[in-house]
Amino acid sequence: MMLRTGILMPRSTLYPAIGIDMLNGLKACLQYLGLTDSIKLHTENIGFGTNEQEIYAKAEKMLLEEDVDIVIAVADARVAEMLEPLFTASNKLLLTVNFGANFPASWQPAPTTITHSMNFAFHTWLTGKYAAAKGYHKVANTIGYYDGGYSQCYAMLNGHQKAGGIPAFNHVTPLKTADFNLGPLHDFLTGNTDVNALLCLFSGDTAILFYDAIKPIQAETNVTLFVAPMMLDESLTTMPGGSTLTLKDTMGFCPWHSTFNHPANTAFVHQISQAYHKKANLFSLLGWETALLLQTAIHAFTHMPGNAAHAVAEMCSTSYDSPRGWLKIDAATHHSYGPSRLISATADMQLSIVETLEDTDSEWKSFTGESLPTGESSSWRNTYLCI
Amino acid sequence: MTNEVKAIILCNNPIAIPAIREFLFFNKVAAFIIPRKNREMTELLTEMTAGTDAKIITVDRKDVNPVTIAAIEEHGATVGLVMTFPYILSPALLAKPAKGFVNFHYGLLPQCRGPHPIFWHIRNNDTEAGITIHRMDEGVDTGPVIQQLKVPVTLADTYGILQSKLAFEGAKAAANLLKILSYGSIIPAVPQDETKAAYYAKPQAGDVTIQFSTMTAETIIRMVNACNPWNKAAAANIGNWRVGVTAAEFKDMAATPDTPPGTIIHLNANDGCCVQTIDSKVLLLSVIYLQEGFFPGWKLADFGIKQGELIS
Repeated sequence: MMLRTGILMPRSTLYPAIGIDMLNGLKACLQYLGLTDSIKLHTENIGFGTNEQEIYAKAEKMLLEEDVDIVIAVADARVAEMLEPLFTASNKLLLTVNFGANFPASWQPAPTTITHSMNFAFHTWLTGKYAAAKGYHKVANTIGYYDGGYSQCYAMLNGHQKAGGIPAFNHVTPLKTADFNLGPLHDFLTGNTDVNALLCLFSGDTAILFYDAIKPIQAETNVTLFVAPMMLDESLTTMPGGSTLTLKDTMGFCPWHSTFNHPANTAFVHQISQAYHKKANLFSLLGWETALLLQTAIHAFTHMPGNAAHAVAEMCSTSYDSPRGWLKIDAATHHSYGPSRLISATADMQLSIVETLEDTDSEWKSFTGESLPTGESSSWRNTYLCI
Repeated sequence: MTNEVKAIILCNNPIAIPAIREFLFFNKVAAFIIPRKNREMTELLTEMTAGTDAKIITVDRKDVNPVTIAAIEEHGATVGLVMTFPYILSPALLAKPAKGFVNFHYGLLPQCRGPHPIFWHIRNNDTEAGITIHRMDEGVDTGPVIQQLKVPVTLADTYGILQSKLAFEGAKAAANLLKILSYGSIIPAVPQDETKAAYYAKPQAGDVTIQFSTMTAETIIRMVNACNPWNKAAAANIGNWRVGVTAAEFKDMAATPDTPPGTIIHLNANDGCCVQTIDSKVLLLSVIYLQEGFFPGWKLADFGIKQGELIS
C-alpha cells in the first residue's frame, strides 16, 4: 500500500524552521517505523495560513488532480472548517495539524476529519484551573498583543474562573518591542498586594521580553507566574536574549518536554538528533506524532481502500505510543490529546516536572464539554506561531 | 464554473438573519425574494440593506417563479439561497443560476425533512438538532448535503431557544458556504441516505396536545418546549375546558401512590400546580396559557380548578 499524502505546510518568521522541523519529525518517524516506502509525500506551502483561497485551491488540486488519499493541513481550525465539506464529499482524510491554540467553532467532528494538536488551549485551561485550586483566586492576567488573539487566552481565564478564580486586572502589551511595557501591571500589583499571581500568555521574542521585564516586578511583589506552554518551550533559550533568561516561581501545564523519561521519547529525541543533528522540539514532535497516526491510516486504507470514514474510525480506536507518553484521538471530537505535565522553571531556565496528569480523560471531556463562547469576538487569522 | 458569487436569497423567517449578514457583509447579495404577505421580514431587510446594492422583491405563490427568474437575469445572480421559504420552486428556476440553488434547512437531514424541523427535533426527543445546507433538487429537502452543523438538544431547550442556537449556526454555515462558492471549482456534496430519511409535516392539533394517560414526564416537557413560543402552549383538557401549558419542569417531589396520571396533586402558591405522570414523576406546570392570558400554573385555582382534578 502506497499512501498518497499531500501536505499543506506553513512558514513562520517567528519560528523560521517550523515547516522543516515538522517535516523532519514526520520523516524521522516514518523511517523509525520502517514506513518510508509506504508513503508518497506531495508538499505545498501555504504561508501563514491566511490566504484561504490559495489553501482551498491547493487542497482541491491535491484531491482532484493528485488523487491523494489524505491531506495533512498544518493550519488552524478555521481553515479545517472551510475544507471539511470538500473532504467529506470526496471521502478523503483531512488531518489538520496545529498547536491547539484555537477552539474549533464546534467540537462536533466531520466524518473524515481528524485534528492533531499540542492542545495548547487545553493546557492553558488546566493551568488556569490549577492556579485557582492552589489558592491563587485573585489574579492579574497579562498577555502579549499577538498571543491574546487566540482561544487559549479565553481558555486560561475560563479554567481559572471555573475553579473559583477572579480576574482582577487585564493587561495587554503592544506588539512592537519598543512599545513593550509592563508599567500598568506594575502599578496594579503594587497597589493591590492581595493579588499575588499572574496568568501569562506570551511566545517567542515577547516571552523573553516579558521574563526580562517581570524580573524586577517579581522581586518587588513576589508574584507567582502561571504561564502558557510556549513560555516553557526549550527553544526560548536559543533565541536572541534567551540564553540569559532567569526565572522564578514560574509554572504551567505542558504537553511535552525533551527530558521526559519514556522509551518513545528517548527514541524520538535520539532519531531527530541522529538524522538531523538538531534538538527535538515541539515542531518535530508534531511531525513525529503525525507519522504515528499515518501508520494507522496506512493499515486502514490497505484493508479498505478509498474509505476515509473507516480510516478515521480505526484511528480513533487506536492508542499511540507517543513521546508524550500516550496519545489518543477522542471519538467524540476527532481531536488528539495526551497526558499533561505541570512544569516548573528554575532560575536558569532548567525545567522540571512538578506533577504529571497522566489520566486526562475526564479533564478533556470537561474541557470539550464547556459551552464555547458565542457572540462577537476577534482573533488573528494566521495559524498560531506562523507569523 | 464562474467563481463570481452574487446570491439571490429567498427567505421568510428572521432565523435567516445571521446567515444573511455573512453574505451582506461581503456585498455578495444581488436581491432578496420575500413573500408579499411577510411585511415584518420586508421591513427588517429594507433596514439591513440600506446603503447596499441588494434589491428587495416581494412575491406570492403565483408569481414566485417568473419573478425570481427575471430577478436572476436582471441582477446577475450566480447562486440561489433558500432560507425557510414557503413556496415551491419550479425546475426552470432551480436550473437558472450558474451555481444552482442551496437550501438552508434548520434541521438534520435526511432524518428530519419538512417545514418544521425545530419543532420535530424537540418533540421527538432527539438528542441532536442542527442545520443542513444542501443543493436543491426538485424534491423537498432531498438534495445532496454540502455541510451539516449539529447542536445538542437539552431538556431546557424551547423552540425559541433552539431556533436562536440554529440561527447562530446558520451564520457559521453561511460563512463557510461563501468560501466554498468563491474558492472551489466544484460544490462538494454528498447524496442523502434515503434509508434514514423521514418527512415530518406541519404539526397538527394532535401533535401539540398533551396526553397524560400515555406520555412520560419528559415527553410532556419536550412537547411543551416544542410549542414555546410559536404555538403559545401545548394543549391539555381539564374536563371540557381547554388550557395551554407554556412551561413545565420536573418537580423534586415523590409521586402519590395509586393516583391516576394527570391528577393535580398540589395546587397552591407554595407548591405550584403539580401533576402526576404515568411514569410516577411529578410535573410542575409553571406557566399556563388561557384565553385570559399567561399565568403561573397555580392560578388555575382562581378559575375554580381544585386539587385532585384530572388533566387529560
